[in-house]
Amino acid sequence: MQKDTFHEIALLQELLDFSVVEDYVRSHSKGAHVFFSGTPRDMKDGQLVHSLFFEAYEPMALREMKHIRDRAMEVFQLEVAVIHHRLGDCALREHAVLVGVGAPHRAAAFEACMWIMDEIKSKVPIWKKETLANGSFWVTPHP
Amino acid sequence: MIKLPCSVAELRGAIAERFPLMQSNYMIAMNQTYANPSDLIEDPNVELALIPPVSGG
Repeated sequence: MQKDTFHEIALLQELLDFSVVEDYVRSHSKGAHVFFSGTPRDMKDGQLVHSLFFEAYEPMALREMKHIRDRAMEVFQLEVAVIHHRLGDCALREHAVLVGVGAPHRAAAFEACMWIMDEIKSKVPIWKKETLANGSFWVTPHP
Repeated sequence: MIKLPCSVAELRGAIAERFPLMQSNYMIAMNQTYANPSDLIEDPNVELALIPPVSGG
């Protein structure tokens, strides 16, 4: 995955690689590193979820992700921030989203990671479709 | 049909009139940036997108 060039902001059809994100953050920041991995839930309203599919309005999603990263860098005084999101089919236990941040101190790193995830979930034009036993459904987010 | 320039709010109104059963819980993006209701659509080649509630992450 991302063997050749590493992008801090990426939408990827293939498996997200936690170790690559970790290495990048560790090599660009000394101090506190916080990582977040979001993986699909396997139950939805008591039903087993078989698989997930992510679709994006890609050019705008990348712009929004970059904007979120830039804001986080400024507001939380980060040394590095990485946001990778999966597209296409995503099996249970695979990373749907990876965020990695580095800052001189842990408070800013924790806060930034939380803030970045909240922003992704509310603003980035990416949509999730869940396949259950009785069909596939686009997920309606809770307000 | 709507005439340019029109505001994003006017566009929403026109869409609601043309597609009365469509849910209105979408955002409008202009050239890949979220637009405000008062923003004006002037360029006929503008890229407009209706963004339903997102569910990434």
